[in-house]
Amino acid sequence: MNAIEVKNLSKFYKGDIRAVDNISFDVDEGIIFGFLGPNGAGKSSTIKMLITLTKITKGTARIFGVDIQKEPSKVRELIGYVPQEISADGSLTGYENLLLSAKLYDIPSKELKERIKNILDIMGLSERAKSLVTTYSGGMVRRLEIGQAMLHRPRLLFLDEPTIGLDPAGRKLVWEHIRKLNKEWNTTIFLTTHYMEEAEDLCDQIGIIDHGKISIIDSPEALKEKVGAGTITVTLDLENHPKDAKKYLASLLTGLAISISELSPQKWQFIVHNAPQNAPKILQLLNDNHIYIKDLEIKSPTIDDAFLKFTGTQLDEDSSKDNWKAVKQQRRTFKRLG
Amino acid sequence: MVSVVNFVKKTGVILEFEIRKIIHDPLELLVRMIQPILWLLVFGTMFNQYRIINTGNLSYISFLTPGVIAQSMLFTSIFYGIAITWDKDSGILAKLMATPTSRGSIVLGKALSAGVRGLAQSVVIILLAIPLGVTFVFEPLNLFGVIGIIILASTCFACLSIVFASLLRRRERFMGVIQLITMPLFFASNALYPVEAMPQLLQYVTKFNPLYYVVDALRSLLITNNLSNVPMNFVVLLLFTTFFVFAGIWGLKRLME
Repeated sequence: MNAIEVKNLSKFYKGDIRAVDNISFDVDEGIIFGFLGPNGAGKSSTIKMLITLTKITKGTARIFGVDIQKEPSKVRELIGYVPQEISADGSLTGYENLLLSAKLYDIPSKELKERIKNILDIMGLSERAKSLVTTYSGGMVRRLEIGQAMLHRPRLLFLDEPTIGLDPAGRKLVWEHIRKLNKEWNTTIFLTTHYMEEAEDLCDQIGIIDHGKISIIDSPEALKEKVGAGTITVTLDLENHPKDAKKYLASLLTGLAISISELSPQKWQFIVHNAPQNAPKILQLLNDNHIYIKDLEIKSPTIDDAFLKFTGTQLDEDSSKDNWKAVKQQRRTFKRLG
Repeated sequence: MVSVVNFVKKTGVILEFEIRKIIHDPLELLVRMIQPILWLLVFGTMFNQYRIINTGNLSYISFLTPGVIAQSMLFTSIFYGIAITWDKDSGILAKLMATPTSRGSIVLGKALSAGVRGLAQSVVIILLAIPLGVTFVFEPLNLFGVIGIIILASTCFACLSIVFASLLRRRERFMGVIQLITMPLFFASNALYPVEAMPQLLQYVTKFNPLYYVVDALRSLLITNNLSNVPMNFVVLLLFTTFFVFAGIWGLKRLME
């Protein structure tokens, strides 16, 4: 059964703003699905429709076969959701936050304590359970929030930018927990992210959305294959060939390099099919012709390249930084108010 | 039937955790006590001494105390919308609304917690007024009535506040507008002076002011024990509250769009 089935889904806002424009896709049960797109591409609007927070303008969506427009409250029982913003209540303790979620998810009172204890153990928060959440680190808050969303063992978990603003160690820990939930509880996970590494390492399938439309959905490997070419960046000693080096290199590498460009004096970039295999040939050829290599970098295509290809923009570092700033700002206010 | 039970249960859960928050940080509650205390101690005792306002055979301080109870409750609950906007700007509200909890439970649970604050404040004001010479009617039935009125009224104003929050969205605008409407609500009521002292036009306006019915009921129940108007006060207030609870639910949904 598909965890998510979306057909011709649209969300329009006032003034004919098409946040989501007629998208269709399925997410298989049991996988980790990464939803990527530049800011304003329609990621949040899609999630907000799927978790029944905002009305669908057109189209249908089903969660494990349940129509989200017809039976929103049934859908809410099936899913867990962790927003990008901080959603644990700073003025309550970690334990109380979990207790609140447990009660709202109708967990029988006999099981309450056991389930909360279990989640605290899994998320590594047992020792701080009685402290107010304002005293938690960013990573702890995130783990608590994921714990809150997992108490009722949902079959599908929505994570909106789960590791935004976390330090690398905190991020790794959150990833570990996401993998564990996916493997051990067979929870289907739908996440959005700005981080390439996260998409590549964590996700079984990646969907790229741009301008409200789905550009492509595939596995990370297949996506990279579709991009095709990798790059070889070399710093060359071309003293023996001072005149028109570019032309010379082009004739030398005919059939191997798709394009050749000079990034800076002496620094060249070759775009090559199947870079890891063709690189030795190229290096050999250069060496045979007495062109000496001072520095070398070989890169296979990355998800970043795929993103560039399918959206025409770099996975915007800048806007992700802005986002991050906003979250940091929120964290500070959160501490102050809490 | 199941859904009614569930609705009551979830409302209770939301209310429980709002109360836990107050207990964790009672400072805000204490700070909010300062203003009504000043009204009573400074304004009340001064006006009482010089008999500036004619309140018939009641002393001015006795007349004023129910007004101050109503005022403190109004000033607390009318800012509830700001907490909702805060919950919305963080992810708290989104997460709450993604759980199987009806929107009605969320609005009503939060609004009822305003009633709990209102009750706590009222107790302090009453305890403070006794040494100032105010005699209260401490009949059990009257006290039940007072509790009912305070909870209804706090819920009413908290929901009104949620509606404004959803219409205005930005916190700065919200603060401005709320401050703009609170004083007229307060002054166009019988909290500080009898309605008969007002110009004719204003007397007419008070009939549309929920605070008027709150003060009238509290004064009857706590001070005069003349209960003839109380049922009418209850019914009108119940209508206002029901209307604003539904408007609040509408506002909550609107806030999420």
